[in-house]
Amino acid sequence: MRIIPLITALLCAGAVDARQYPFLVTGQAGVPLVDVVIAGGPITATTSPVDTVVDQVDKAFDPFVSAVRRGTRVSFPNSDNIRHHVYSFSPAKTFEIRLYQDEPPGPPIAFDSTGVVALGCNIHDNMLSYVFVTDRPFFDVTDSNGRARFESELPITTVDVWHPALSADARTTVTVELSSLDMRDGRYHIALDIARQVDDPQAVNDDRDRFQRFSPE
Amino acid sequence: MILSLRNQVLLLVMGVVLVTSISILIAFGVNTSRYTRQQVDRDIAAASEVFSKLLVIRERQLVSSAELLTADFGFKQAVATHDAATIDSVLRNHGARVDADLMYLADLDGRLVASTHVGHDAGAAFPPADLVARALRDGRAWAMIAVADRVFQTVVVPVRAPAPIALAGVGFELDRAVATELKTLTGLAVTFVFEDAPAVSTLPAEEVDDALAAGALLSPLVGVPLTAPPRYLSRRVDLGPSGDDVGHVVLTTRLDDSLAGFTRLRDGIVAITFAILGLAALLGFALSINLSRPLNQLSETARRVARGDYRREVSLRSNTREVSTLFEAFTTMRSDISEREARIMHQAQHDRLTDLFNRAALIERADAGIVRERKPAALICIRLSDLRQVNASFGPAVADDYVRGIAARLVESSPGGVINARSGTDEFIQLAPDISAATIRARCEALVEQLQSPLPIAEMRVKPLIVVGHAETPAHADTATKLVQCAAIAADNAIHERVAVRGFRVGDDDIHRFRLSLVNDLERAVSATDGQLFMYYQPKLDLRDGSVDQLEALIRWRHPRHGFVSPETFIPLAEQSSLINRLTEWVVDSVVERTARWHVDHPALRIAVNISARDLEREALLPFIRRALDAAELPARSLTFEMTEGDVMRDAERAIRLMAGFRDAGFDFAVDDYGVGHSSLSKLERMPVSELKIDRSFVAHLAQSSRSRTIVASTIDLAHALGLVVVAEGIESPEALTLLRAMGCDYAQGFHVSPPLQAEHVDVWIREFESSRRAVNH
Repeated sequence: MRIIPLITALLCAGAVDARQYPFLVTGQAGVPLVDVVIAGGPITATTSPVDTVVDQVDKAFDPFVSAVRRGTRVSFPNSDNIRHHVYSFSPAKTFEIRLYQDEPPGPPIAFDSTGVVALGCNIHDNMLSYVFVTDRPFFDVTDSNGRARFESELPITTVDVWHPALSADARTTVTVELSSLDMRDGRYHIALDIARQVDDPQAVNDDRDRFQRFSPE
Repeated sequence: MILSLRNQVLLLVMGVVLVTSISILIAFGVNTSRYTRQQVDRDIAAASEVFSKLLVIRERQLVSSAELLTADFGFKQAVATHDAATIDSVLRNHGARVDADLMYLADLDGRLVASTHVGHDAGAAFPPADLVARALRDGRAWAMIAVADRVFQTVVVPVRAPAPIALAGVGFELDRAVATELKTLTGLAVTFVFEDAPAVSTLPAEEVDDALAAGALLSPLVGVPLTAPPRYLSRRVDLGPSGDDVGHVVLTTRLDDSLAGFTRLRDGIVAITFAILGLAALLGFALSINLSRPLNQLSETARRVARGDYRREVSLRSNTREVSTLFEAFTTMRSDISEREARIMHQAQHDRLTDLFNRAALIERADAGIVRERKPAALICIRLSDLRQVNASFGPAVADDYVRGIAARLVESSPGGVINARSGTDEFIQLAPDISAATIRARCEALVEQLQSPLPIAEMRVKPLIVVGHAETPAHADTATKLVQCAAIAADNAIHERVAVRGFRVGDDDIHRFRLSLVNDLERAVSATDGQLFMYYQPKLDLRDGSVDQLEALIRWRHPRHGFVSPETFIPLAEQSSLINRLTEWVVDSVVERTARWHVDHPALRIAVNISARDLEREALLPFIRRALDAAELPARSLTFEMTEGDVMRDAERAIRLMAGFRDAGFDFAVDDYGVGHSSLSKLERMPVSELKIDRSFVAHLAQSSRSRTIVASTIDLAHALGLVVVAEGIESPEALTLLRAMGCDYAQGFHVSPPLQAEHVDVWIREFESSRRAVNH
């Protein structure tokens, strides 16, 4: 299913010159930022949403950050041998899948409003995942080197940039004029005022830890 | 400042006790305060540690409560859906469950959404931004915050759904219960101070201010007696994690408890000190009595000794060694003083040289024993006529031996009851009781006989020359003093009359008084220039050529009341009173003055001046004469000197020595009154005299007595054989003059030649003599 935009891109490339938009995102002190969503392109684009999956493996959502076109349906398979209780209280999409194993009991969840949806598990407080729902046709999430790229046959002047640490409630999106960006290593360089890499809280994935937090300093 | 022994001992003892006690108190106080301070420091440090721990524990409870709340799915849902009623009820329910005093919810911007605290308005800026920021950054944060007038320890944690959507807070109030718990844990009083005002305290309300004002450190002076130790010691511990918190806790220790033991001990020491002071005072009192009683006894005895009471033996005893030594020294001193006083008394009554009584002692005894009781007694005055000569010739040591020898003989020869005394340099007196006027003379003569036998002194034999006067009581005197005077007058008369023994006769004392008045008058006459004294000059006729070139100067005294007084009367008086020296000087001055005038016309004129044996004793006479002559520019040969044979022979050796001095100075010497003084020719030979004057007694009967003629003739021959010029005195007839000229006599002097002339008439006389002589020759 992921292959569709690629095919579309290839098709478009044939007709129109598809242009590459590579990005580099850094935080304070120039540290590359992972899990930054960059989305661009006119919201009027007709590309269709493609269903996607947020898996639950080893008491963690995978991936931590997903970017989807509005209307995308996301399924939440449970790859653990324990039950999970996926929920979201985010205004963009509020839902709840009560305790289940393997496949969710219902159909995939359609994310039909733009915004940031924070996903959690009612049983495992550490489990956290963000789904960035956008109207923009092109988007990507930075890798551990802070790099992301997409291509567009349409000229792009602005991009939406999001990262969980941009605000306390993790809902803030900034829109950046590409023309205002520096180029670094042939990439648009986006510098965010984020103090430190926000680690995936799921990395600390041990329930015992919670009871050892008050160990003597 | 003079302190009594007792006070000194007391001061010393009490001083030592005081110093010791104060030292102990100070040392004790310093150490106690240090110990207490350390103890209090430890207590407070421990208490603040406990308090911190307590806060941490409470923080954990709060965090647990908050996380329990925020983990609740229903709560999350209610928050996410802004279900205010549900939120409120959850807060209350949960708050009750965890026994929290404050539950609240705020949005991520720090605006209050809901609170269990009445009057805590939604929308207010709460909790503080700093707390919000820390909570979002660290996942939890705690602080002390004031809500209305209450203070809470609060914890804020984000509500995650699962991203943070709000902040939930839980708080425990810092109320009396907390303070009490803390107090129970630490044992210290606890006061919470918010916004600089005490909010909660475990102390009674009236003590809070004092406790808060108390210092954090204990003063080292806490041990000083009579100072009130501080009641509290307080230390401030910050409440919150940061400095700008709303308040702090003051931990107060009540020193009453810590110092109570100390104060008790201190008061105990003070009490013991006073007890020891009292005891020391008693002991010191006893000790000082032990010392001062014998000392007082000693000073009483010393006062008695001062009064002269040596006899009373006081048993001075002390069991203190030093005092005992002092007593021994004092006893020795007392006997020494007693001995010395006896010695002094003895010396006061005795003559040092002979150890006989002195005059006063004898008079005292005579008065007491005899005169006053009108018993008959005689007093004998014994004079050593030649003591002066002995002293001059042989020195004072021999003179002393001489006096001692006479004293010994006196004592030896004295029957019982006789008291001897030395009453003057050359005088002894002897009180002989029970002796009658009839026997006294015989006794005196025997005494003179005894005393005059030669006395061996320093390998010599001195023959004492003794004169004795005696007087009797009650016949002559009714007091011992007067009796002694009478005897002395008798002795004086014996000398005058040249007898060995002379009894006092009634009327002697009048003569004696007359003589005394004469001496006084003479002294005035010598000093005055009123012409009472004046010189006569008698020419000496040179028989060989009939010329006159020598005059003898003769002194005359015209007494204002008694008229002319004979030199034979006043010269011996002058000699006895040593007035003779001044008289001789007066004579020399007078003669020299006159001679200087005569020498203008008669430069060969020589004047003979009489000097006495007493003059010889005076070394200063010769220089005096030389000065007088030099002042008048006269040669030495213008004066010659005459001395009676008796004077010369009384101390021949000394006379020879002295005359030699005069001769060496150029003066000629003549022996006057030769023939009556028992002089030996052998002595005469050795004498440096150039002239011999034959006594008038031989010349007076020259015409009538062949015996006198023989003596005079042989004397002239003898003198000529010795190379002496011979002068005959007392020529009163032309026969005598003729005889003497025939005998070869060199000079003649007497009324027949010329009576003594007034000085003013000498010139005329010489002129007439010269002219008549020329007439005879022609």
